[in-house]
Amino acid sequence: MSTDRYRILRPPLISQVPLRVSGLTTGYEKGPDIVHEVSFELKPGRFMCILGENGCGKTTLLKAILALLPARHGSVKIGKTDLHMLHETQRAKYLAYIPQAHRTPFPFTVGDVIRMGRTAYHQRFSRETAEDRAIADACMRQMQIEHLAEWPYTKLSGGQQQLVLIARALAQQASFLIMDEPTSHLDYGNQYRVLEKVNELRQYGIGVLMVTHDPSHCFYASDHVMLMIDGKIVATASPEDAITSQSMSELYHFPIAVKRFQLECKAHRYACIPGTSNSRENMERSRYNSPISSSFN
Amino acid sequence: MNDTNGITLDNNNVLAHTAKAEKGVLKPLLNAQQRRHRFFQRWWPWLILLPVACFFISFVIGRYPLSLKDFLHTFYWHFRDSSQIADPNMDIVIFNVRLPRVLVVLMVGAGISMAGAAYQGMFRNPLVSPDILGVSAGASFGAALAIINSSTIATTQITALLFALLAVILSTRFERFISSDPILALVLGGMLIRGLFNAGLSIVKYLADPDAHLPAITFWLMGSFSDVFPKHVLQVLIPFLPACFLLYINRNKLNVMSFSEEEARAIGVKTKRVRREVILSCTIITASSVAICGQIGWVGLVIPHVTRSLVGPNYRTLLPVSAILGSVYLLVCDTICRNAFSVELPIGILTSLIGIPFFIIIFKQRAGRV
Repeated sequence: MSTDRYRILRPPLISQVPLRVSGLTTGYEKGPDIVHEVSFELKPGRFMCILGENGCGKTTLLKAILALLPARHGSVKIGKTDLHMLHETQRAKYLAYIPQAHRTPFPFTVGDVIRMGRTAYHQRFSRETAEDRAIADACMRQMQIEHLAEWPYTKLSGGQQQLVLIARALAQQASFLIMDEPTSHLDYGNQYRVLEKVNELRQYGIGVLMVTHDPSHCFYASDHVMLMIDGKIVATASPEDAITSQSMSELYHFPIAVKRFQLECKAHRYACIPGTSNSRENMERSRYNSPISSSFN
Repeated sequence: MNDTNGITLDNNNVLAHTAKAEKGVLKPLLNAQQRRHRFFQRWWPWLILLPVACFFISFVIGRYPLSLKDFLHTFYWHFRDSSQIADPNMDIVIFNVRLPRVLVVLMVGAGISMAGAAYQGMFRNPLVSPDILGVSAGASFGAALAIINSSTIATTQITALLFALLAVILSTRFERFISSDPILALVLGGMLIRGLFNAGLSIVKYLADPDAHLPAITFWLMGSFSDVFPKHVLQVLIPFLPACFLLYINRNKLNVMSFSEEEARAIGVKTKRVRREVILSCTIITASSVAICGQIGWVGLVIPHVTRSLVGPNYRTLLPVSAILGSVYLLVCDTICRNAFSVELPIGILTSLIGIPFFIIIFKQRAGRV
């Protein structure tokens, strides 16, 4: 890791100031509250995951943190700066958003997409500077996608698109990355390759907040896990403490066992195993004796 | 004890796999399309020679025969000493008829294409044309209204302009009702207002005097540059310059706006403000051109497509090259309209007749590649 690269990637606004969300309540337009009284703190260089079932308000919470939705109560602060009081250009220097890999109608090149991350630093009449290009190139190198720079974004695979979006967020030089299910639509290997790349960013003091559907991701990368049920945070703890057979079964309304595995190198890993011990047998049985045929017996 | 579950992780094996995956399957070989994009991104300023060449060619072709030498002679002496001009008719033809017409055609073509390109990015849809917010429908209704009241050409143009602006203002009002998806609100608003003004146009046509006014309305709707006078050059230029400038300084933001609304805002674009500025400038451009020359279909849709296939989707080059190609295209169409037949052809017909096959060819090429 050369010092030069470190300097470029190091966000200018970085400090030891955490992202502090306190009592955040929000909802859509005139609808009911979707997110109730959410409070947490994310320190720079830490990785936090949010787990919860579909429709529990995870994405809504992210939108409220990014100030894409107005807060009804509570605040999102970095130090003394209330992010909801800033306008988009200033806020982009604190928080970067990484959506799911998606399709755009126009075939922008990867280099173009990453340089778009510099928009917040442009004055109204200014052009792209050499510094912008240098930072974009450094972000591309960090994600190891520099060989794709001239390639149209629309023709990349899902995993590569996700790396491009992360590089674009890096070019924003924000202190915190907010990720909304970045690994959905990716194959198994790409999911963890993306997570590992994100994990590497923590050495630059970038804090990560990620919504995911897979508890294994939390074990693999995160320091903290928040469990969300019906718009409320029910637990915030380290993955080992928060993700247990009981909590997962309650969260997803499905029997899930969490097991600890000892590896040969004295390390250990956790794994989630869905289904009760005899659910597989039940499935086999129902396949051969369907209820219709059994009623004829 | 250390492997109770029968799991072994062979670290070397895993690392080898990872390295293989990271090397990448996609080779960074540029195909023909990407090489073309790079070529034009580098050399596009030379394309400005195209409209200049077309300017001179279009000038010497016409009902009143004019050689390039005569043209240059008259043009030179007009400013130096007008008594030296060999043929005073030539002076009139050049300065009162052909020069204003060619200039207005060039500007209108450039403006409409830029507006189309900007709207396509803002609406995140490559099938959007500049009249999506009802500019043309409003202008048509206003012009028809003026024509049945037997107004002069100038009054017709002003009424068309006012109704075009009114249509856009009404369309943008819908943003308030669907604040979660402003683009949907705009598309929906434009559709409703277009429908409303088209119905109004039908009423006016139905009530119009079939001998005197109805033909005039029909001809107006087909579009023509035959009513262009020297004063129109300034009438187009004055609103066009600030509007095009406003579009051009938003070029980087338009790039970002082609992604989703949330992403654009998170990247640091004040989307509401950019949207307002883009709509304002596109409306000024389209309304002032539609008011002068009537409806000209397909230019604002086809030209950005052609340009995008040449220079790629980046607005930094897309906007200026769209303007260049749009002006050339409209000038070629207008020159054909003037000279192909013994009567002048309405230009709206020709832009569609040439534009649609062109569009199909491009679409076919694209479909083959993806």
